[in-house]
Amino acid sequence: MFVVAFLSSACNRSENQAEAAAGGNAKVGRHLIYSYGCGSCHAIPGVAEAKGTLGPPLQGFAYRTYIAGSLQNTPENLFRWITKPQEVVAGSAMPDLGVSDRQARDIAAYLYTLQ
Amino acid sequence: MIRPARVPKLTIKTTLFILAACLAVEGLGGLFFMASGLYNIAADEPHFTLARWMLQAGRTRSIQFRSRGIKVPNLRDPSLVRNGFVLYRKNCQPCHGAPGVAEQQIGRGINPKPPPLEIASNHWTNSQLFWITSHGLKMSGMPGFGSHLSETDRWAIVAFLRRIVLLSPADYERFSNATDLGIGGQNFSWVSNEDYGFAQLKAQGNSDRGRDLLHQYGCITCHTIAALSSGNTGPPLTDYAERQYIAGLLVNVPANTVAWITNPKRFKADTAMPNLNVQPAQALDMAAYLYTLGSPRRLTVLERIVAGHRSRSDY
Repeated sequence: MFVVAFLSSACNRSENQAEAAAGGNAKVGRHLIYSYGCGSCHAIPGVAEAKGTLGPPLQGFAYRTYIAGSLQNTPENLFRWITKPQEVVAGSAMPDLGVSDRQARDIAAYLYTLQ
Repeated sequence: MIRPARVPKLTIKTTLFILAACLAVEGLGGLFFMASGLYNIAADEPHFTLARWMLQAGRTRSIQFRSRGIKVPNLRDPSLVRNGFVLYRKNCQPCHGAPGVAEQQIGRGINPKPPPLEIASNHWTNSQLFWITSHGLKMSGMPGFGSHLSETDRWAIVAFLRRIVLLSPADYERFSNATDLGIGGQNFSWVSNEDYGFAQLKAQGNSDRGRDLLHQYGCITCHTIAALSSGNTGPPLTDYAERQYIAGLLVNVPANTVAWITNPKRFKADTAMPNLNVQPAQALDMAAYLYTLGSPRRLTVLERIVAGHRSRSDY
C-alpha cells in the first residue's frame, strides 16, 4: 500500500520513485531480470522474451497487494521473496536463484516501475 | 502515325541493371557489416525481435519437417518413465530446471534461454521431442544426445517429458527422493492413472454460470479476470488456461482448481485467499469459465496425456 501511495503521484517520474522505494537501479534491474531468466516463468512488460506462464504475470506489480499470496507487497518483503523464496513458501515453484541483496534491490526497482 | 516506342525495352534492361547493382551493394554492405564486428554476438543481450522471429519460425518448421515418420513406442511404461526421470535429472535439469528446481548457472547464460519443459514440451509431438533430444538445435545451446544416449534412453526422456507437465514441485521432490533412496518401480507410482478432473469438467462445468459465480462470490474484487475485472489484491488470472501452477504449489488442472477454490487454506495456511464456502459444483463452473481464458493448447495436450495414461492406449 505504501508503495502504491508512493508511486501513484506522477507517472512520468515513476522510475525515480520506484528506484527510491526499492533503493536500486531500475535499468540494471531490468537487465538482471533478463539474465536470471525470470521471463521464462513470468510475463514481465518491457523485458525481452519475458512471456512465461509458469508463474503469475507481473504487469501492474507496483499496485499488487500481496506477494506469493501471503506477504504484503512492501520493498523489504519483496527483497526477501526474490532472494529466498523457498524460505517464504517451502515447496513453491519459485526456486532459489541465488540473487544477492544488491541485485534484489535493482530487480525490485524495475518491478515497481510496472504500473 | 504513332511510331512504336523503344522505351519499354530500355526500361526493362535498366531496371534489371539497377536491381543487380542494388543486390551487389546490399551484399557488399552485409559483408562489410559482418567484417566490421559491429553486430553484437553477446549472449547476455536479447536478440532483435526480427532475428528472434526468424530463428524461431525457421527452427519450428525444420523440426516439423525433419521429424516426419518417426515411430513412437509405448511411452506409458512405468519403468521407462522412471528411467526418463533419472536421465532428465542428469542431462536436462542443469539447463532447463524442473518443478521447483532452478536451472544451474551454466543453463542461465544460454541465449535463447532453455525453456522450462513443464510448459514448452506441450508445443511438440512425441516424435518432435525425440528428434530434438536426439539431434539438438543449432543456434541454441541445445546439444544432441544421439551420440551418447541409446534410442531407448532418448524415448525414456520423452516419456518423462509427458509426465513432467503434471508434476508439482512436491511431486518432483517425491520422485527425486524415490530414486535417491533406490525405491523401485513397483513401490512407487511413476505413471498416475488419475483423471485430474478433466472428465467432470467436460460433463458438468458451465462457463456461463461460472462467470456469474465469479461475480457473486466477489472473486473479481481481488483478481484481474480478463474482461470482467481489474482487481490487484491477488495475481491476475489472465490467460488462466495457460498457467502451469496454482499458488505456486499445485499443477493447474481442473481437479486442483476446484480444490483450491473450495479450500485454499488447506494447501497454504497463510494465504490471503479466503475460504468462501464455494461448493465443488460451483467451483467447477468457475473453472470452466477460467479455462476459456488464454490458448487452450496446454489443457488439450494435458487432457490427451491423462486420457492416454488411463486407457493405457497410445497418445
